[in-house]
Amino acid sequence: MSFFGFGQSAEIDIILDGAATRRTAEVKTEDGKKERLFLFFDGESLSGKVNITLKRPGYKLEHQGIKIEFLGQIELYYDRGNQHEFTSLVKELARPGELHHNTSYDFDFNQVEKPYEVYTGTNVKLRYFLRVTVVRRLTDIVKEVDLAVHTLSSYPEMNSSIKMEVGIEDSLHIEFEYNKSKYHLKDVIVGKIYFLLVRIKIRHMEIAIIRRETTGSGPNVFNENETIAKYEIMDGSPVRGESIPIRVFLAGYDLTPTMRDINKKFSVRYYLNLVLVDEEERRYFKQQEITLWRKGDRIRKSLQMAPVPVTTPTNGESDQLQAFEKIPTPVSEEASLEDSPTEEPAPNPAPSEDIPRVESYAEGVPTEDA
Amino acid sequence: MNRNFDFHWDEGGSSDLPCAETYNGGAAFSEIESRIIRDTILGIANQTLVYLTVHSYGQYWLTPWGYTADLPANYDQLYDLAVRAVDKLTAVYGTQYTIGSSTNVLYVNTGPSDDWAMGGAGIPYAYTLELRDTGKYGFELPAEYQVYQVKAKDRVSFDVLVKLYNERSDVYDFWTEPRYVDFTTDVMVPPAFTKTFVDVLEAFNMEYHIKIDDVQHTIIPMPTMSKSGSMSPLEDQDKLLDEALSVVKVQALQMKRCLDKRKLMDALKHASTMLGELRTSLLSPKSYYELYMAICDELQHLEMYLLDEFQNGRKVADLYELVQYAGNIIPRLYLLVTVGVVYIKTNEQSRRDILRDLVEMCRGVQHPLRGLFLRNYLLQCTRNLLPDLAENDPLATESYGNVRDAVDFIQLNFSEMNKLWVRMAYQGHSRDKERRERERQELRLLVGTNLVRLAQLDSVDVELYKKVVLPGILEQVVSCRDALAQEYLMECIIQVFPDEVHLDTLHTYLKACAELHTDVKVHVILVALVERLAAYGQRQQALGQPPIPPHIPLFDIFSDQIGNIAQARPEMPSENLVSLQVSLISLAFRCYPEKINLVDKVLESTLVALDKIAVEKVDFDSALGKELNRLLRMPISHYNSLVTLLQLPHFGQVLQRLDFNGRKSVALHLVNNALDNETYITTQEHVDAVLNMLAPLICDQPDQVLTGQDAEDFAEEQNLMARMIHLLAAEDTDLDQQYRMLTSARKQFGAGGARRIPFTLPPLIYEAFKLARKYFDVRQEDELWEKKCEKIFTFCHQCIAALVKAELAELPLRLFLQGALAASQIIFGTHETLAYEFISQAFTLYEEEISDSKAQFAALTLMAASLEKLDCFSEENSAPVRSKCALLASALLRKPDQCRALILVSNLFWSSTTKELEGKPMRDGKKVLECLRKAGKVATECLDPGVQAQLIVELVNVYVHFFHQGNQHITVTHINELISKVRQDLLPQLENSDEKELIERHLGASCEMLRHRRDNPSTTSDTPSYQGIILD
Repeated sequence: MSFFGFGQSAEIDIILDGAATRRTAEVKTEDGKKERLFLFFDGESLSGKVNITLKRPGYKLEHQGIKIEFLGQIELYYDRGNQHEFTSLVKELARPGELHHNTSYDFDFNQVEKPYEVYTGTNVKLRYFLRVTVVRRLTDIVKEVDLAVHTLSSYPEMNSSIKMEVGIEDSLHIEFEYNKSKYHLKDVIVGKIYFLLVRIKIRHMEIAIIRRETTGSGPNVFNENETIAKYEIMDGSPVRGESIPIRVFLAGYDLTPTMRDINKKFSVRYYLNLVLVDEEERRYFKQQEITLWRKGDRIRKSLQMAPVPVTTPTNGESDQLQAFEKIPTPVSEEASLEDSPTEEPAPNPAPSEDIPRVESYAEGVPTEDA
Repeated sequence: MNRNFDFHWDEGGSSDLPCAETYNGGAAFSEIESRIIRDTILGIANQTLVYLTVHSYGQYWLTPWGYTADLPANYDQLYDLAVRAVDKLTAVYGTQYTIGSSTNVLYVNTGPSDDWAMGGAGIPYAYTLELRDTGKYGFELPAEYQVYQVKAKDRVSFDVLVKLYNERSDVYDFWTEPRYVDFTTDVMVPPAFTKTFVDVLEAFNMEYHIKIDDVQHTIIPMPTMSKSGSMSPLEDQDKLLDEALSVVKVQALQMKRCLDKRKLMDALKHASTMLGELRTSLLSPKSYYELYMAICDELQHLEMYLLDEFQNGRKVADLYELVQYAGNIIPRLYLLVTVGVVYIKTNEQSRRDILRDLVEMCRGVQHPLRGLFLRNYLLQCTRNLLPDLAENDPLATESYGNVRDAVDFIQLNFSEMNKLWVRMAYQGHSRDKERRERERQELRLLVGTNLVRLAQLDSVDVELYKKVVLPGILEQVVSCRDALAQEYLMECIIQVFPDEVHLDTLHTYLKACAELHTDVKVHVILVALVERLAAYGQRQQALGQPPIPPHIPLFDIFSDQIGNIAQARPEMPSENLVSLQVSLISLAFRCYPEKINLVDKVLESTLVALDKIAVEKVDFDSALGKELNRLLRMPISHYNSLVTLLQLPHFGQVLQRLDFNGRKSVALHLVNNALDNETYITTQEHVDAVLNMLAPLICDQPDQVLTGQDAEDFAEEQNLMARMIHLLAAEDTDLDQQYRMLTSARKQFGAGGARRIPFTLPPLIYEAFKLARKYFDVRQEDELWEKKCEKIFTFCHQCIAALVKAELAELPLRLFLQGALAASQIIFGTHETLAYEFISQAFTLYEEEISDSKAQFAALTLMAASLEKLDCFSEENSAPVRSKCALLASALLRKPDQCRALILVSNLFWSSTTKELEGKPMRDGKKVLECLRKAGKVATECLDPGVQAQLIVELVNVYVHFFHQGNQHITVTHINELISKVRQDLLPQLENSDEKELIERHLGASCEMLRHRRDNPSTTSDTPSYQGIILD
C-alpha cells in the first residue's frame, strides 16, 4: 500500500463479530481452489469492527473519508469490465480528515438482504464481500473480505416423483422413476428403471448429474454443461421385466442449489441424465431436470437404507411416451440438442416414501450448531 | 498404399492424383490399411529383425531409401544378406534379381513402407521384393506352384522318385517321403520345373495328378501367424488372468498397507481398483472364477479390519454410504456387500434391512457372469448372518427379521441368479452354443448354492417349506423355461432337502415336473426322486419304522403323476416313460414289499402307455425295448420266484409286447432265475402259465427270427428248458397233480417241433417214470394206483412215439428200453404187456430206423443189456425176444460186430430171467455154447489175422467166464483150442506191431489168470476144475 515509499500507509482489518464461533463454508475460487469463508444467510445482520493500523506510527494519514460497503456482485467472465451489483450498502465510517494513530470503527449492517447464494462457475461468479475504502487523493486504501452466503429453503411444498415412460419404437422402452423432483444437497436420489422392452444389447447404464450454467440473455446466451458425476447403475444387458434400483448419494458431489434467472444474469440448473450405452457404443439418454435446494442441517438426515418399494407402472395414461435421444456415433451427449420440455407427471397424492417434513424449521433462520 | 507411410512423406515420386498408381493418400497414414500395418509393426518392432514387403513386379531386391539416393548406414549388411537370398532364389528358380537401393535401382519414391519400417520403426533389415515377372504379366501373375500327387507303380519308377527326393529336394518339395512302391507322395513343384517334372513322370509311366493347382491361392486365405505369435484363446486367457491377478496382488498389498496405517479411505480406493478387475468381459468363466477367488481372499482382510474398527466404535452407517460413491457398479456392490456384512455383525438389529437392501441393489448387475459371481459373493458373505429364527421367536424382532426374511432373501437371490444363468444361454453367437452350455454347466454350482442355503436354514419347518420355500423355487424353475437349468435345479431340490419334506410336497413337486420344458429329461429327475424316497423307505424300515408314513399314499401319488406327465408331454420318448415305470417298481419293492399288486399296477399302466403309442411289438434292440426288458427283469430278480410272478397278471401281457428276441431274453432270464433259486412249480395252472411265458423257448413263434441262431446256443437254451422240467414238482403227496402237470407240460413242449422235443421230452419222460415209481411206493394208499401207472406208461409211450415221429431213432429206442425197464420194475396188472410193448417198439425201431452199422451195434448192445435186466417176462414173451436178439446179432453187417454182439447175446441165455424162473438166472448152457460157437465161427471168418486174433482172445475170456460160472457145456478143450489157434495160427502171421503186442499182452493176462486158477484149485466144489488147460 505504500506509494513510492513516501507518505503514510495503513493496513485495514475487518473483524466480524462472533468470528470465533461463526461457521465457515468452502467456496471455490476462480482458479479452482477452495477457500474457507465466513458463512452468512439471508437476512442476517453483519456487524464488526474495522481496524486501521498505520504503518508508520507518528505520521498522519490524510484521507477524504472512510467507508465500508457490503456488496453483492455478479461478474460475467466474458465481460470483466462490468460487474453487476445487485446489493450495495454503504456505511460511512469517518468523514474526511486525518488519522494520527491506529483507529477502529464499528460497523453494523442490520438484517441484510442476501437474496442469492455465492457461486463460482465457468462463466460467471456471484460473490458477496465487505469493502473498506480509505479514500485518498491519489490511491485509495482498499480492503475487501469475501463472504460466503448460503440460501436456505424450506422443504418444498410439492415434491412429486419423476416418473416417465420413454423409449425408441420397437427397440427400447423403459420406465424410470426418481422418488422426488426436488432434492436437497445432502439428499439421496432413489429410483428405479423398469425395462418394458429391450431389443438392443445394452452394455451398461449410468446416471450423470449435469450442471447447466446459462449466462447472458437474448442473443448472447451461453450454455455451459458440466458433468458433475457419472454413476454406473447397471452392468450388462437386462431383459424385459427387469427393474434396476437407483441410489445416488448427493452429498459427495460438488453441488449448489438450483439457481433460476439470478438477477436476470444467469441460471444454474441440474439435470439427471440417464444414459444407456449399447454394445456398439451407441448412447441413448434422457435428461430430466431436478431442483436442488439447500437445507439447514440442524436436523441430520438419517440414512435411508431401504430403496423405494418397486411399484410397477400403473398410471400409464398420464405418462407421456417420449423418445430417447439417440446418437448413432459416440459423440458426447452434451452435444446433442434436446427438445424435451420437462414432463412432470401428476403429483403423487401420497408421498409416503418421502422424508418426514421438518416442521420446526424456520425459513431463513440459520442454524448454528456445528 | 506404398506411398502413404510417414517417413519423408510426399517428398517426390508420389502423386497427388487419387487415380494414380502412386497416389500418396493426401496425408501420411491417411489409410486404414497403412495405419493397421503401422500399429502391427510398432507392436513387434523391437523383436523384429527383418521387414520384407513383397511386391510385383520386376525381379528386384530393393533396400531403402526411396526418398534419397544416399545409402542407409547399414547398407553393407543389407546388401550382403540380399546377395545371399538372391543366390538361393537363382539356384531354385533361375531368376536373376537385381539388388540395390530403390532410388538407385529404380526411381525416387517417398512414403513406401520399407523406408518407414527402417527409418520410422527402426527395423534393421528392410527390403522390398519385386517379384520375378519382368513385365510380361505385370502386376497379376498366372497360377504358380503346383502340387502333384505321384504314385510310383514299379520298382524302377520308385527309384527315380527316391533319387529325386534325395538329390533334387532343393527344387522339388516332397511333402511326404516316398516309402515304397504304390505309395502316394505329394510333391510341390515350382513353375519353372513343371514341364521337366511331368516329362520324368511320363517317361517312367508314373501315376500322377495335380492336387493343388496354385499353392498361392491355397496359402493366402489361411490364417498366418505373425512373428509376435498371435496367441490361441487359451493362452490368451492365461495371459489375461495373469495380468488381472497381478493387479489384484499389487492393489491388495497397497490396501493392506493403508489399513496398517489406518488410512481407510485410501484402502478402500485400492480395494475398489482391485475390484475393478472383476469388470472384465474377456475372461472365461473358469478364469473369472480364479480371479474372483483371489479377490475374495483379499476382501476378507478388509472385512476383518473393518470389523475390528467398528467394534472400536467407528460409525458403520457412514461407511455404508461412503462406499456407494464408487462410480462403477461392480466394485461398488462388492464393497457394499463387504461393508454390509460388517454392519450386520456390529449391529444385529440392522440385519433385515441391510440384507434386503443388498439383495435388491445387486439387481444393478445384469451381466450374467459378473452378476452370478457378485450374487455368489453375497450369498457366501451372508451365510451365517441370515435371521434363522422362527417367526414366533422372541429374538426375531421386526428389525432382526425371522426365517421368512431369510427365505425371501435367498429366494430373491436365487431367482435373480437363475435368470442370469439362463440368460447366458442366449448370449453370443449360436455357433458357440456348445461351449456356452459347457460353461453354464461349470457355473451351475453357483446357482445351486442358493438351494443349499435354503436347506441349511434350521427354522424352515415342513409347513414353511410346503407353503413358501418349495413353491417359490418351483415357480422360478418352471418359469425360466430352460431345460439345462430345470434339469439341474429339480435334481438339486431332490438332493439338498430332507426326505421328510419331499414326502409332504410330492404333489407340488410332481406337478411342477409336468410343466417343465420338453427337452428336460423328466424321467431322470423322477427316477432320482423315487430312488431317494425308496432308499429313505428302506432306511426307515431298517429302523423298524413303517417305510413311508401311512397317510402318504406315495405309490399312488407317483403313479398318478407319472400318468399326468405322460399325458402332458406326448412327445416324451416312450423308453423314458418305461424307465419311469421301472423306478416305480423299484419304489414298490423297497417301500411296499408286501404289496405285490402295486407291481402289477405298474405293469398295467405300462401296458396302457404302450397301447397309447400304438406299439404292437417292441424291438428288443431299441431303447424302448431295453427299458421294457429292464422293467420285466426287475420283478424277476426281486422276487426270485417264477411262481410269485404268476401273481402279476399283467406281467405276461407286457412280455408279449416285446419282439421275439426280447421275449426270449426275458424267458432265458426267467429260466435261469428259476434254476438258480430252485423254484418248484407245484400246480398245473402254474405250469401252463409259466410255460406260456417261456413260449419263445418252447415252441416256434410267429415272429421268430431264426437266422443266425447258433446251434450251440440253441442247444444250451433247450438244455436249460430240460433242466426246468425237473422243477415241475407237486407236493410230495399230490401225485395226481404231478401227473396233470406233466401232461400239460407235455402238451406245451409237444408243440416245440422236432428241433426241441429231443431236449425237452426225455426229461419229461423220466419225470413220468419217477412218478410211476412213486405211485408204486404208495400203492397201499391209493387203490387206483395200477390204473394210474398204466396211464403214465401210456403217456410215456405217446411221448416216445412223438419222438419217433420226429424221425429220431436212437433216443426213442433208449427211452423205450428205459420204459420197459421201468415197467418191469413196477409190478402192476399189465406191466408185462406194457414192458413187452416197449421192447417190441424198441425192436421195431431198430429194424426200421437204425441202419448205420455202428448205431445198430450200439443199439443192440443196449437192447441186450436191457433184456438181461428185464425180469417181468414170462417164458412165452421172453424166448422170442431172446432169439430175436441172437438173430439180429448175426444179422449185423460187420463180422467183428457180429461176433461181439453174439457174445453179448449169449449172456441173455445165461443170466436173464423170466417170470417162471422167479428171478433165478436161466443158465441155458447149451444155447450159450451155441452162441459162442457161432461167434467163434464168425471170428474165424475175419480175414484180418489181427482182428481175428483179437476177437478170439476176447472169446477165450468169455469161454473162461462161462466155464467159471459153471456152464457144463463148456470144457477145457474149447479153451485150449482157441488159445492154440491164436498162438499157432494167428500170431505168427502178424507183423511185430503195437497191435500184436497188445493182443499178446491180452492173451498173456488171460493165460496168467488161467494158470493161477489151474495151479490153485478152489476148495469149494462148485467151481470147475481147470486141470487140462494147456497154456504154453
